Amino acid sequence: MRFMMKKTIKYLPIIAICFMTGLANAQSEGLTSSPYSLYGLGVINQTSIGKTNGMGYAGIGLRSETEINNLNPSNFALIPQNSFFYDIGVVGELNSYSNASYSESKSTLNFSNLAFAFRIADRLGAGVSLVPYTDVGYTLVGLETNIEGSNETFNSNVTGLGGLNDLSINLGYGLSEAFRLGIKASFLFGNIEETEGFAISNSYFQLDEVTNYSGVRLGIGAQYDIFKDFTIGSTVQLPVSLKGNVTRSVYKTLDDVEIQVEDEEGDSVSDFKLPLELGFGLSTKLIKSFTLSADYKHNFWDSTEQSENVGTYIDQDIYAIGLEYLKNERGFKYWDRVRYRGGFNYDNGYLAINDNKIDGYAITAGLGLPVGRTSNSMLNISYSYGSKGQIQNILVKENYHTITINFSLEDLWFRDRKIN
Amino acid sequence: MSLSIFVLWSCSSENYNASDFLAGEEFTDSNIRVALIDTITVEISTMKFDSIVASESSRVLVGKYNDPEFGVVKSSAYMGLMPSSYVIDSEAEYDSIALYMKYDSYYYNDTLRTNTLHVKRLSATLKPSEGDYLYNTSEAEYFEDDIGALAFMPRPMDGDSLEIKLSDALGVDLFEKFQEKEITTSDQFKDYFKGIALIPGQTDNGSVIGFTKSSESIFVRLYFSEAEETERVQSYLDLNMDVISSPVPFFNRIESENPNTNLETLSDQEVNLDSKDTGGLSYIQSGVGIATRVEFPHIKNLYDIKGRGTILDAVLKIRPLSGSFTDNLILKDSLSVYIVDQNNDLISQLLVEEIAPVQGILNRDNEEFNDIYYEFSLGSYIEELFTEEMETEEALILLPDNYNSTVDRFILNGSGNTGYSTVMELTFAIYDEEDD
Repeated sequence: MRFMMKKTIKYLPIIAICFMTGLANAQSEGLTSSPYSLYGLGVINQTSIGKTNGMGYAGIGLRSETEINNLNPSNFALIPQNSFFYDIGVVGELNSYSNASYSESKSTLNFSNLAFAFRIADRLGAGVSLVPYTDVGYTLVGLETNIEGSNETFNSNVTGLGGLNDLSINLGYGLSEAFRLGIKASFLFGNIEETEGFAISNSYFQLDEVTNYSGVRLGIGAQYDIFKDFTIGSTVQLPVSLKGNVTRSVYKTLDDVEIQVEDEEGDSVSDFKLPLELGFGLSTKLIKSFTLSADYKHNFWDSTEQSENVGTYIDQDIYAIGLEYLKNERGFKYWDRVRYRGGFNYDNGYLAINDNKIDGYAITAGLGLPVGRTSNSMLNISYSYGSKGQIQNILVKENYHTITINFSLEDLWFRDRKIN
Repeated sequence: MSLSIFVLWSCSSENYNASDFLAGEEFTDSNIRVALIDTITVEISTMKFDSIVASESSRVLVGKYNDPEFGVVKSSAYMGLMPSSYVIDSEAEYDSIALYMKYDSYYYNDTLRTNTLHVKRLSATLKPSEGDYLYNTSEAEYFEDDIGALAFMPRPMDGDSLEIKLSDALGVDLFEKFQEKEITTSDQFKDYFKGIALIPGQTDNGSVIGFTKSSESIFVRLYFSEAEETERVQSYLDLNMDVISSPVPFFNRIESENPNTNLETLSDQEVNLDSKDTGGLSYIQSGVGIATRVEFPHIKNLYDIKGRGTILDAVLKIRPLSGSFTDNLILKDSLSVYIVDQNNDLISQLLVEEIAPVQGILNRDNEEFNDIYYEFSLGSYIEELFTEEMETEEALILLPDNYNSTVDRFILNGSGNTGYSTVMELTFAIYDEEDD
């Protein structure tokens, strides 16, 4: 096993590049099949890297020295000497969504992340991660719209695919043993492809719009260990306007003849504003074997003053709490070293349709399975059951099961050489 | 090992487009606005061709009737003949001569009235005064005296032939010319016998009847007998309609005299009789060459609609004038569309993708409510008008597709007749509202 790991690591840079491109491609396939991904830039991805997926996505105040904690850049200061962390993940999702009269299920499977982190100097660590920022994947059929100037209607079908990626560069520095600061630059980029088509009398019409968004978002984070086993943390994500460009193609049939009205013509589209996001978190050891992590985030969507044709963006609160149980890190029995996790996440939503906020919750459970004895390498598996929306009125209720598998691996640089 | 599994997984992707989920119209709105616009200006007028090519007519048309609006409508046919053989035995004896014509099922107006048909002998060879064609207005010369005549009740749907006995004087003359070998070539025959004219009776008010235009269906049969060993045997020689010579020595002369005062003003092809000046009416009479002219002068006003849009459909609806058609003056089920230039010279038929002719189909779905109209899908044409940079000087005209072989007539509600006016229903999709 050990030998194999080493071999793999040798090819890591090449594999990493393949994955980077693979991930970007995978994005355009659509990671979600949520009808809610219709709005804004799509469904904002909750899953992160490593252990926090099993802990209700809480980790701003989580001091993590053994693997990447991507939720707070200051945590990158904690990377141990000679360690190189990397994390590769996949996510599978089964969505069931329903409204008053219909229900349907869909499953998707995709990459969730690629990340690595390393130490630069004493108390100075850096990390690069590529994670999906938003996912778009929906199909809505039979949208009925009035034909102006008549009593008739037309039924259109709308599909959306794509999403944005978040390529982040993190830097964490420890001002002291107990106080760490971090900065983060996120390159957000990606395409959202929307297609709408309908038939009226003898004619068919289809509009394909590929919207490309890009922008750089800056964030800062801090962690402070008040006591040995009690850490508080905070993150600030600065607001940013993502620039949008749309490429439009229009097809139609007229008198049964197919006509391309527009062929990939460029047009401007209004920028999409991401709000100021403040996060607070804490973590503490309870008794001896339990670690508790809790986060609160507030995202100031109100001040972006954005709206969809069916709703407006309003301030969002996210509460997350997670617990990890570890019997004995150095236990002789394998199962003593396994980490058991559970968590809960409540998100009151950032979009209100007819004054109904689309809120959602997720219950998570996870396992951290150690890989080998000499490193902190871990196979992190999480399962989450979530629900979003409500059936009343027009909203779509969505239930989803998510499984993430993360290879959160540590390679020990230089240390091996001594043995050789 | 584990990495290669990822690579394999990456290949699995769902088909996201397969969904039947009806999210509900409130869940989202369409990004596209669709409007039905029926305020497009349609200018309707009537024009009349100076002449139409008649030698290419697909049938022989003979008959006469009085139309309350179009006047005395009359069609006479003129054609050359060609013998099937030039040999008659010297011992043969003349018997009789008759003209046969086969109905082709076309008729217009009342077939329950008696038609008269006068057969005349042409006094001059049929040929165009200039060019290659004979027109509906061409003149032919013939001897006054009938060589045959028949009063008959037309039975156009039977598929039978009409038999008209011709004068024995002519029969004997022709018989002897062949028997004595005075005519042995087609040129000699054509020189001697220029052809026949089929003229309806002066006082007829019946129907215009169509006969099949072919050498097998229209012929003069010269009967004679030949002596065999024990008895005399009937034989004959046919003079078939000449459809081989070039230019074809044939045309239908179609005319209508004393029409209503509106139609009388159509003295020249370039006259466009605006339907606003004729009580909102426009006219079509095939054969004679009266057509309804349609123009869309303000189609580019669509650009005034805010945003970027495209035409999805354009349906022109024209209503025939209520009471203008009867069981006899029947309304045909379809109309074709042609393009004319500013001088009303015919350019071509209106086709979609240069193949499919545009047709106006009579919609009788609500006939019981007196709601009956011709529907034309003009989407491609309107789009061309809309997107072309130059304002066109061309116009559309409406005529039956075999307009040189029929005498169908139509009285239509043009513009200005409130409630019944011609309307264009345009379906327009606006897919980018911000754009100008």
